[in-house]
Amino acid sequence: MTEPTDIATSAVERRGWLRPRALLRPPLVSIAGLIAIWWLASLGQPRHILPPPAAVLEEIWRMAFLSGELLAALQISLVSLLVGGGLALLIGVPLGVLMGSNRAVERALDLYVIAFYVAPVSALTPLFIFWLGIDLAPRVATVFVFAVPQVIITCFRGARSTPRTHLEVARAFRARGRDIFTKVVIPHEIPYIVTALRLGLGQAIKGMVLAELIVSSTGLGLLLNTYAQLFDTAALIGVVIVLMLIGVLGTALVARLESAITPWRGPA
Amino acid sequence: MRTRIISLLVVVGAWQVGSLFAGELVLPSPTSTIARFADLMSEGRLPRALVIGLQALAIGGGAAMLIGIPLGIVLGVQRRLGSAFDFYFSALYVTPFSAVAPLFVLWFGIDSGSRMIFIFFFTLPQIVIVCYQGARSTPDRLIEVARSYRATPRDIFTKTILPYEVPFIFTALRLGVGRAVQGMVIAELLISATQGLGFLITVYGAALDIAAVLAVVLFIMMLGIVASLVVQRIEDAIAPWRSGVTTSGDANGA
Repeated sequence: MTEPTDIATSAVERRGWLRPRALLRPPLVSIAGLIAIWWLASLGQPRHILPPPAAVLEEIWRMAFLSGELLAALQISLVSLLVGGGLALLIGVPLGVLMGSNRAVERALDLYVIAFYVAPVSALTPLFIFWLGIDLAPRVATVFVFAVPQVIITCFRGARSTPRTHLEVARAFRARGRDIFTKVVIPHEIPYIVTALRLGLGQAIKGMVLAELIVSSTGLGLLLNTYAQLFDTAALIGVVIVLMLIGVLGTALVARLESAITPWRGPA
Repeated sequence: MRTRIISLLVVVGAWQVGSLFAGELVLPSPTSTIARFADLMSEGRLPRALVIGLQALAIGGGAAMLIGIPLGIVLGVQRRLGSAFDFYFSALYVTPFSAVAPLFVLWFGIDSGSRMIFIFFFTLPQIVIVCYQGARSTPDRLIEVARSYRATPRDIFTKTILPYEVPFIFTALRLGVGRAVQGMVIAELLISATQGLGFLITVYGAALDIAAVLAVVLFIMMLGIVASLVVQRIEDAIAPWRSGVTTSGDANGA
């Protein structure tokens, strides 16, 4: 069956919305131009409003290599990212596949998945503090609720979009339900799992930062809070840039993996 | 429909049983959450906080749509501009935006103007990216047919690219509304500590009034869902050739 979805979203998926082509080829000239504008704009400004690019670079260098605080913070942050993101994959992938291949499961769960996907889950974070304390657990929970709807929906979509012709051929050859699942649905699903990994990663990073700002001030969130209170804007922008780089590099990396696994979908 | 009702009953039942075990203080029962919700509504706290939030939401999100839709289309049609600038919107889109909140406080203060600007930048990349991809993905054969009938570039734009773009604009609106609500909540949690729905969560959380926190959280989640549904309805009315969209297919938009 053809996906009963709207043309826009399927076209969006085919044509690159899910394939962050832009992130793989940063336009160096225009970035250089942007930095030049930033430098010009910072000329008359006091340092705590807009520091020049060089000062920010200096701060990143200091945090990364001289004081070492950036690496220490990264270690703390990555734990919640890996545990929460890992759980989201572990639970989200099978759930999404199950929902995509079984109508009853889909009808029982789609309401909640969509609700969590559409709703602003950041509102839940303060509740996690109350239920799970302020240590690792609430941060993992935040990362999890940020990432899991995206993972479920992407995997659901993969299982649901298994071409009907493939299913019919398998049936014509008297494949049993189990064979159809393991030999037709699952192979079709694999690229979607990688896509789920990429989209989930982006969400997970957002959950991680939010939790570190709201729940417990640790990791990169602590650095952000500290430098904001010290009005050390150069260091603050430095941390933001590091976080941007993590998001961009992580996404670009998984996108590479994606196009390596599924070359027929064209270059990313 | 029956499966959905049964599953809803199961979830509410599990919540009720869970609150019996965990205690009313840790996990208030559904009934007391609803009671608290009714309280907050009749006291007018929830509506007042909502109105405050909606102002920032409407201005910030509305501006993002007004600017983002044409911007995305221009970037998609002018290939050169597109490849020079699409990187920034993709990068903004994957950036954890809550990290930028402290900078917004430094630059724009903590009042509603600051939240508007936050919502604007939070929503903009999503809208630009979808409209950009729409304009860019206009099938070449459509454009070629137009050209072979000697359409001027202007005709190609208004009669081929724009009609093709319409569903993308709606997708951008639907995703954008959801994202603007998320931006509003994050802004109220991180930027302004004195008003709005996010502020209510903070206050009741500090007072350990978990039923009230749950009531506000559920209210916000409903808001996000209803907003998306409304855009969906408008979309179905204006562009009925896209109907037949299942609920599950619908949420796959991002």
